[in-house]
Amino acid sequence: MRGRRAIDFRKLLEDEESVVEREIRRREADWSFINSLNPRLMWAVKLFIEKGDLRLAQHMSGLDLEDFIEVLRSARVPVFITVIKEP
Amino acid sequence: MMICSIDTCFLIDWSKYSGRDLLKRLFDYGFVVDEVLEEVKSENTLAYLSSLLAEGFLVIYPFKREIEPIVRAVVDTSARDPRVRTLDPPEAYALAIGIREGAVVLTENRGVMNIVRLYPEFSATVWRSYEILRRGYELTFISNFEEELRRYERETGHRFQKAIGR
Repeated sequence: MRGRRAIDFRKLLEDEESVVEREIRRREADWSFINSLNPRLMWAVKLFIEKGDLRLAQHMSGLDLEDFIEVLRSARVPVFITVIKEP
Repeated sequence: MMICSIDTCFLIDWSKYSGRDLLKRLFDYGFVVDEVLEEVKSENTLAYLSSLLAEGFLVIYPFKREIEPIVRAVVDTSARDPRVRTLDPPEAYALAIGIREGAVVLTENRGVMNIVRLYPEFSATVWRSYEILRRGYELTFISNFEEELRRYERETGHRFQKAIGR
């Protein structure tokens, strides 16, 4: 429909923490390292950066949890982020 | 008596922290399931896990079959609700133990946090490393909270980020 913007309902499901976490992952990631990985790992790491879902991305990578975490650390992607909400 | 239930992600992160003995000052003992034991592979995490088991602080949860209906309900709910990241068995068992035994669930998994927040039937106390460090500070086991957070970040690669209201 011309002149009207579609609502991205996925964004309504996102909380503030998810947005903050994704920005940190995107900012700190070593993108040249990530782009040099084999396609399966590269897309698994990118999936983690965008979604922050460690289990989902780990399954996609085909690696065990700790091996996948090591790949994320090599790619300088923070694995665990806590967003602190102060009253 | 304070009991905890530990999942894999928490264990991997916490094991890198030099002040990790704080756990034994806050809790009398903790439960773990074999799914967590099977997932741990790195030398550092294995050494930590092994020491906790050897000291008798960690106990393999003995009533696993009894909590399987809770685990199934937790996993089903997490898969159906897009607001909750789908939980894998190690996290689901840790949460089910928390629900069943009144143990504090130690996890870094957002799915666990969200399912507890959104579904009253899965009521449990969930702590991340942040809440553990804060509790340690409240009980004066930690003298400078901010400094301890920075130390935890340096040693584990964890990030603590203050939220900016939007």
